[in-house]
Amino acid sequence: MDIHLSQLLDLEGDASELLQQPAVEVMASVVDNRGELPMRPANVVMQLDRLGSFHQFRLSFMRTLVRRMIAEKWSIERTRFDLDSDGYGTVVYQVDALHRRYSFVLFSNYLDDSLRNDRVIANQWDLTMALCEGSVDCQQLQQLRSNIPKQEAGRVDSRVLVLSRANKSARNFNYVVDQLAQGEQPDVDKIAEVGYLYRTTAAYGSGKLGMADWDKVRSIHRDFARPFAAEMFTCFMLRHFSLQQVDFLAEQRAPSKAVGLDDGIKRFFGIGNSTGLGMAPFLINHPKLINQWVEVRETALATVMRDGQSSPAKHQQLRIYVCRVRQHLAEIVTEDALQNASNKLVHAELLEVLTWLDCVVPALNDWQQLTDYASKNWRVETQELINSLLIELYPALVDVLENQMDTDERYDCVPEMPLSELLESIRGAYDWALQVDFSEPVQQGIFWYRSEDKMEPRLGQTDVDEGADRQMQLVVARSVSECYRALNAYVDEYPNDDVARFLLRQPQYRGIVCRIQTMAPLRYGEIRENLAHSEVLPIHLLRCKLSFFGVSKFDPRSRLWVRNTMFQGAPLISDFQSSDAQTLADGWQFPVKPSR
Amino acid sequence: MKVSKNELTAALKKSFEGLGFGYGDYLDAANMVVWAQMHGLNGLEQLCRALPFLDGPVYGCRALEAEASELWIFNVEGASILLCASQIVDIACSVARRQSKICVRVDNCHNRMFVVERLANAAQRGLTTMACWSTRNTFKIAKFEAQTRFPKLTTFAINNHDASRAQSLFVMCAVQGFDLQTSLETVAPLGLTELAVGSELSSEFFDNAYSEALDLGIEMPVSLWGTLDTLTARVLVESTERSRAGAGE
Repeated sequence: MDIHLSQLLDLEGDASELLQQPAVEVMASVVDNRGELPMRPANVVMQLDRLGSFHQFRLSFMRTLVRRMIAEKWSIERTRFDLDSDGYGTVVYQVDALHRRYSFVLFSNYLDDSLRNDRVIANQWDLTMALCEGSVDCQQLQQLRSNIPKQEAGRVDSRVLVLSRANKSARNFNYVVDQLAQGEQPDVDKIAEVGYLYRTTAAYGSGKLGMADWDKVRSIHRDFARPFAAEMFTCFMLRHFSLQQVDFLAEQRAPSKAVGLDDGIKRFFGIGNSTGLGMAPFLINHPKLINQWVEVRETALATVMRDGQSSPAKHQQLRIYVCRVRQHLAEIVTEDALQNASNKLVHAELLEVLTWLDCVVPALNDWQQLTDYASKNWRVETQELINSLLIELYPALVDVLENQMDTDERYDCVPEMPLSELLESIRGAYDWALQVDFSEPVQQGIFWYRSEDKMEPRLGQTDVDEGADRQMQLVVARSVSECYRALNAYVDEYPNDDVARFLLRQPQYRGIVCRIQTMAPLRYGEIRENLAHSEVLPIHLLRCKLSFFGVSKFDPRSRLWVRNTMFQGAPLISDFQSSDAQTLADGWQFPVKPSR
Repeated sequence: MKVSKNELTAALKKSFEGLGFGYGDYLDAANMVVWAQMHGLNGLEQLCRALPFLDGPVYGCRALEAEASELWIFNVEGASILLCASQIVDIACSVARRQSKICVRVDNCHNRMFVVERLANAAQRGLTTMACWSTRNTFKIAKFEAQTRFPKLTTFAINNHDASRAQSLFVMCAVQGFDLQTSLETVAPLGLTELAVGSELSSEFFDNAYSEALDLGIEMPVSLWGTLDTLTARVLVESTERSRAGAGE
């Protein structure tokens, strides 16, 4: 039976209890009683340029994490803050979440400016840190101190959930400390240019370097039992530390004159992130997970389309959101000409959205009118921004999906499947792959490989660079095409055979056959792009994943890596217990400069 | 040193790729080793013994020698089960679906214990699965009921070793409602049923072993980790100034 998330939203009443059950059981128990959701087709959604136009939305991982921390009243206390007057030393925070206690351990070390490097091949950083289960005693702290600063060259154990590192923003850090030490707040215009004090270059989890497996995290540490929740939390804690550190340093430098950073400005500081090609293979190697994320987003959107009542209050709310996004876009500073041009175009089109709303609202019956108009008149990025904002309008309709981002990642072969059925699956779900003519050189112009430098993924030029013989198996379209050709030839000879017999004779296709059989029944399935094409833009892959993380302010540094900002605008830990915590928890998307 | 399940799987995938295993095969082989280790069956120790035989041209032959209605026979000519278990178990599953049950004999096969993970996989898809094989002094039976995660693994002592089946592996599959006992009786060494109940590892043993390995990590011999690194290096490409630009510099 083909069951989709969309059916989940046809529950009447509170689904939260059911959501504690495994997703498949929940979905199987739901009876669709309001008709089909208007899900967008895969051939629209799974195009790489559209996925690369996604923006953060309500169910992005940072957003759901912040809501969870506030709703569950997580307590985060500083239990050790051993920094010298230059801000170097050891810091430990104790985190009491709903289910368990954790420790966030951070080491701040001197780093020469010449050694500061965002690439994965770097081997020294300003800050290194770990999120650990339980409390950390002296012995464990010593072990961590011996290993965490080494990052990939160190080893930890399964009490550690996440390992990360960060480098100072050369532009902002000293400026902010100087200002505070002089008794002045930093200029928000200057902060808007960068938006963070530190930039993280990796957050490792899922069992790397001896850490706790994802299976352990999701079964034992339920506070982080959503994809990348522990990694996002680590970045959130890094932001918290960075804000405490600048206050501390200003106080050290000028005890009688220094002021603390204003809370409004603090919220406007996020954490920088630098993401490179290493993230791209993840999307290809975890297609079920990516399918699930996209399905959740599309289900949220389709639910809003079907059930979201269009009212004057919602129209007004949407106008406010659009104005905010326009301001957000106008405040982005990037040296990338293409990104700048794109931001300006989207900014202009959003003005047209406001105009359209003013003209059409009296006759606006449902949001489909807006999305239909958008798809005919505005750019893909503007369309996807509108979709994010529509989802934002209806928390009560979509928030039940926030526990559905995970899925099992089994890729099973179905050996008894007749080959005619397999061929039909390929023609149905992989038609896009069959359309690629791999005899054209441009379709195989590049290849992906792992470098001996920390196994960093890199791109090579076919027939120019070394390494094509060791390329990574990321070109799904080519593998499917080759398999399809072999199957057709085989079927001519053995028309009644099944998959098991085909693979017995041609075992080289086993991997791709398992993938096809697993992915073909899923609604969204694969990313529809030939990743060997000379002109492919891997940055779209990065942006897609980062949008699900919930980042903002994309600042491409090339077609292969992008800087961005995490948690900018998010509440502070001191906001968690405040009376307007709920408002702050939900109101920080598309951050804009605080008013002076 | 301790490693995690994910980390071990990733390292093995790349190592098997370095050994020349194909796309699909290297993932299956990694999963077989990891399953055995996570479930208390000393997968890493067995891998150490298997590695010297895997470090050469990949032998992909799955020679089908006989195909009768109740018994299929393969001769893999000394290959490790890591290289052919998926195809063998797939065939068994496919035939069982069609005719209710089947027995497949794989001759001249090494590292046979690793097949258990493939049986677990097939059991999850609704089949009753069983494998059995002889060693010098024992006869081992691993059986999964349909839809179960863990096998019952029984080891019997034997004293009438059949040299002609010394490296054979029997894989049996049946759809629900069909018993594999009669198939087992035809392949078990003579006199087996008269022996006292053998050493038996139950679901509880496998469940506990898995939970402990997940919680505390997997003890990894440093030398084996080094060997895996060396094998992984075979799929890595030399770093040059030009190649660094291929990562966006």
